[in-house]
Amino acid sequence: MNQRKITAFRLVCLLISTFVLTYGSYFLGSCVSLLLPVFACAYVPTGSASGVCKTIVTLSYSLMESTGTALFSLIGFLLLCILGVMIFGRLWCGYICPFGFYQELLTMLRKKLRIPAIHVSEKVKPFFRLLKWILLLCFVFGIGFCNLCPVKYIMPSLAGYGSDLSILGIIIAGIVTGICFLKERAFCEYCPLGTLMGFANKISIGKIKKNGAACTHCRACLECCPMDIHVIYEERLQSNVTHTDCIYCMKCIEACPEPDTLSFTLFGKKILKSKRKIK
Amino acid sequence: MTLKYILQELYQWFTYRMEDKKARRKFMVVIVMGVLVLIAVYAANGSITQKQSGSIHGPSTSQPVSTSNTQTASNTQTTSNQDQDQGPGPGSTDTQQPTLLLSAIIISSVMGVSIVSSTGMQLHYRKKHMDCIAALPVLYSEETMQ
Repeated sequence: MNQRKITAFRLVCLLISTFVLTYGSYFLGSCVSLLLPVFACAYVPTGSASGVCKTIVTLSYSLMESTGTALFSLIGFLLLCILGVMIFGRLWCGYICPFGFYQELLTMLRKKLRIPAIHVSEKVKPFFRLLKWILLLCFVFGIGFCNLCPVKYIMPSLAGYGSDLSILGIIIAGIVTGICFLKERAFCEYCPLGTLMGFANKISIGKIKKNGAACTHCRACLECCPMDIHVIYEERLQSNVTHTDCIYCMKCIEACPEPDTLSFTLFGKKILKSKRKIK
Repeated sequence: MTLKYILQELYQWFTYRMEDKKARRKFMVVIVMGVLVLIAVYAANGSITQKQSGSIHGPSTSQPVSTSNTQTASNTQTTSNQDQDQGPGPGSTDTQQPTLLLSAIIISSVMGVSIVSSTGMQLHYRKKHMDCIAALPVLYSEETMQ
């Protein structure tokens, strides 16, 4: 597939999924319910997806409350989600997640305004990494994560239900929007759902492969990576450079100037590879 | 002076202006502001419709309610809201103006907080020279390759 086409394809996928998940009930009817492993907030009244995050947060309560067919369907949906995550890994984040699209829009706006991005200092990175694991624990055990989740405040506002935001909601939505404006996919680095799905990246069908011998260490892959993944740049021996944070945006493959150095494989078959840039 | 001439002049003036980088940036700002205003108006519109249909409560007032996952989010929202709804009934027009104003205030507050936070971070990074690209650690497999 052409390199430019993959970015366009990704953006179109994000646009469609955002529209369907946020405004889907308007044209699909209120009976449509999708349970996807993305941050499509359940608090969007016109949304056609509740997102698996709500199920995880209230899992113990749901299991206790549900009986018979409801329990069976709940377990079935969860198993389907787990299967989907195991097959696709974090492809969901890069191609489906509505909040990811919101962040992409902010980045596009920043680039149009020619405002430089910020880079998180290496000194403070361990603290942010710790924050990521704390958020994951809060998420898994349902300890107040939903009250701090920016998606809960931003997505309903985008859907036209922002008139009841509390002061906390305004502050969280504002700060997260500001950070995501300056740092590409800032929330995705700390997203607990993404962290959970990242574990499946190693066994998913999609892999980023690198030919270490052909790499000239130009840093192009590192500079363009929205998730600040160093492994793609640093690794020289192993061919599989798929990181748990990788959202398969393919920007590294697009940016790589060396032919056939970086590639994306699906079921072991190479479907996208880096090409020499001709200026 | 014909319409064709006016349009041609306008087109020339516009292309001349677009060549200038600063003008282009201003133009982009105007477009972005327009989009944001449109979003704000749409959000306000949506909230009015929501008020009129009688399901008012938003995310801040409701906690996650465990229901069957086959239900839609909208159904859950409506069910949980019906018990808590204390607002005016459907079709009350006297609440439209305050709701519109409230939505506009909230959206502008979110935008304001985001602008303040992003500007603050930008200034902080510029002051501390943290926006420069930090040197990466030595490649751990470099020695092995040699």
